[in-house]
Amino acid sequence: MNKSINSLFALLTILIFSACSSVQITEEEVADQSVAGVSIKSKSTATQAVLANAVVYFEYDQFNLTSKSIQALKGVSELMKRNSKITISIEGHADERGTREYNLALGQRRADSVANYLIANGINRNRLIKKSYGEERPLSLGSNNSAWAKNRRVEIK
Amino acid sequence: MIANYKYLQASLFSFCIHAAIFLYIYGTFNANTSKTLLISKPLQIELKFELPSQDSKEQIPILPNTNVTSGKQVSEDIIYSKTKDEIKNSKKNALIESNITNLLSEESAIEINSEQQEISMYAQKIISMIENAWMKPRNIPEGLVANLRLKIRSTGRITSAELIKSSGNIRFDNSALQAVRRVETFNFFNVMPKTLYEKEFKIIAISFNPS
Amino acid sequence: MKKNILLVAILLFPILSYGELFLEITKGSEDPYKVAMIPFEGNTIVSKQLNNIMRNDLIRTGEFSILDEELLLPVKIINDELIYSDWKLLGMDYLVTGTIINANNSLDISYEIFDIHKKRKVRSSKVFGIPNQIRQLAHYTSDGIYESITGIKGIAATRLLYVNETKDSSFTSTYKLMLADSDGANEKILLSSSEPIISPSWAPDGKRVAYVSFETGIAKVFIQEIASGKREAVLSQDAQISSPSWSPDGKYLSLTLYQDGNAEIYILRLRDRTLTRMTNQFAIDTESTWSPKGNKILFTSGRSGSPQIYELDLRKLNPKAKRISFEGTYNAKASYLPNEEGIIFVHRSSDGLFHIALKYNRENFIRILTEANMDESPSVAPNGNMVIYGIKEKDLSMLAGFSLSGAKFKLPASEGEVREPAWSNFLR
Repeated sequence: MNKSINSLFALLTILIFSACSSVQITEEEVADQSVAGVSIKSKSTATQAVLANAVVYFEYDQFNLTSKSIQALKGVSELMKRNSKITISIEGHADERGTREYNLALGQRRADSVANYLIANGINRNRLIKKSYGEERPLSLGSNNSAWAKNRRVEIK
Repeated sequence: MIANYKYLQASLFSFCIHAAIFLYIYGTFNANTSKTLLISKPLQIELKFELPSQDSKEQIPILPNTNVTSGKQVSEDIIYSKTKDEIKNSKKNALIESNITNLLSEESAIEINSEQQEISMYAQKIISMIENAWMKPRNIPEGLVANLRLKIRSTGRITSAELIKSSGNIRFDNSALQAVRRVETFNFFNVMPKTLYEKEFKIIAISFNPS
Repeated sequence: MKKNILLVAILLFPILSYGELFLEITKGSEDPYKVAMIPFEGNTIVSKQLNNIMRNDLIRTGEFSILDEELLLPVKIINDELIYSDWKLLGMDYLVTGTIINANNSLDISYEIFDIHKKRKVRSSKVFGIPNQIRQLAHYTSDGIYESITGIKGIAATRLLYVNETKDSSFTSTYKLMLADSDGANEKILLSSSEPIISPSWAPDGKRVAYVSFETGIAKVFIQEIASGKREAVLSQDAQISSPSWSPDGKYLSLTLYQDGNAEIYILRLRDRTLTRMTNQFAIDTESTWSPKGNKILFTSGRSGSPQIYELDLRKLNPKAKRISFEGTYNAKASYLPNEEGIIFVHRSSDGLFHIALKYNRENFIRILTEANMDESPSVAPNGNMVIYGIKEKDLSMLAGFSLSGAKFKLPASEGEVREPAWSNFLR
């Protein structure tokens, strides 16, 4: 009795774990499912340039805006006031140190800081989409202060 | 005659009460010394064990800027943070509550009989043999205590080791059993007087208490 | 633009496994049980393979020292009694012998354990298996030996989840959620994606996993059934969700939602997808994890100004978060020891380096258990004796592990980098 139960059990366990299925997801599909409303390509080159330059950097462990970041954001604010149709995606990042989930949340706080600044400057919050990539999309690979500083950022698209 | 009998009864009664008082007082003085040995007759094992008070539950307030020493030492894998009281960090800690050396010298001030001396000597030998064979496992919580009961033949061979009080941590319990298992035989038992063996060392209890 | 059908469910059978994590044992422990293992009788090839796997399993626990094969003596039996003196001379504590039984379509093992000090057999047991699963069989056997000698359940037959990232020549990354045996063998790909995957989490029954995938452009939690590959997003709304953790009864998933922009902890009841909010304050609350008994939750919160560990008692009506980490300026990703004696977490020491730390409830100090500088994502084995975590060595992420008794091992990736390990529950 024991023997058959044991072998049944072993059999079941083995079958379950040997017959794993793998799922594959690639680039094109990702594009199809991208977050609605934000289309980089619909912005003019000039707009894109302004946004590309408006990268906001942060201190280690911090999510508050520095005076330098505010300068960068002034340009964005003005741009958005001039073109009232534009919506932007505000993407927060963190450097690799620390835990991944905390960094995801930290990236989000950084995106929030930027969004809050723009909102305080009169931009409608519905034009802003905030998200975080945590430490998952570093700009600079490497485990040194300079790489880390470049990765603690918010990008606007 | 009757009057005498009453007096006899009264004096006997009085004698008994005085004897009881005297023995009680005498007993409490001696109780300290015999408790420290922690190796006793089976009947007394449960009663005699004075386990360290569980003051590890007491919360020592942690200062906000308490430092944690970084793990640069390769030889020592366990790094402790500093707290108010520095925590001792030896790999082979004395396992059995053995302040015996201290207490033995204390005892010399008090008159003890030679039997007690003999018992202490053999007890000390037992403790050091086990101490040498015991390796406290790493990363176990502090304040753990495990007690074993050993049955020993007159040749000194340990025929059984039973866990009578678990520390709550299996690895700690296992290490105590393993130490005793490695010792196997207290070879000095063959020079022990038979009567002493029968009386005190046939069944003993050991407490493993590194703190 | 070519629009191929790109979402493909690939059924991978055992023969099509991905590869193997290579297990390196880098350190033994102080006072191991000294065991002599005679290669089991039966088919020589099978016996050799079994022997290798079992030796590695037992050595990796940190509690065993297995006698070198060349030092093994022939087993002497006189009148049905094993002669123990030889083994005694070699300083052995235990002797293990066994036989491989080839019956019909199965491969079974019967083994005996002899206590050299007590001079008697202390265990006689049988393990049942099927021919293609020699590794499994070996793991079951080493677990049996481990448990007989230590009284603790073995983890050789458990499994690991982790994330692999491989970059091609143009530095484009492919992320894979991997499943493997506890020794890194038998790797299987559960998910392959061009977008990051993080935070894999085992369901307690070992049949499903939850993880965060960025495939839709933002962090979203998915649940996937291992056997079928069937997967679904846990919530349909278009909000960021991360940090999934299963309740011990498998009925709930604690999550981090960013509804109002701020990371907060919610509990999702899987049956009807109802959400209950557990935290509500301005700072980051994330990395929730359940206690083994299911009545408490640990999480990381930044509410005191820096990430620290907090605990919520779910038995209370309006549970208030209680802070439980007080040393240092960064404590995160905590999880309970299976016996709830303490917690394992990531700690940043005063020199800014990240280590894996342990804190027992009854002690008021922490123990630092690792010594590299960017150690992260610890996961505790279900017997509470081992921890696997991520390290970075020479700019390459890989997995490392240790036993509380002091043994250490490494699991570098077969290609690319690996990180974010999660240790399964007992699977038998």
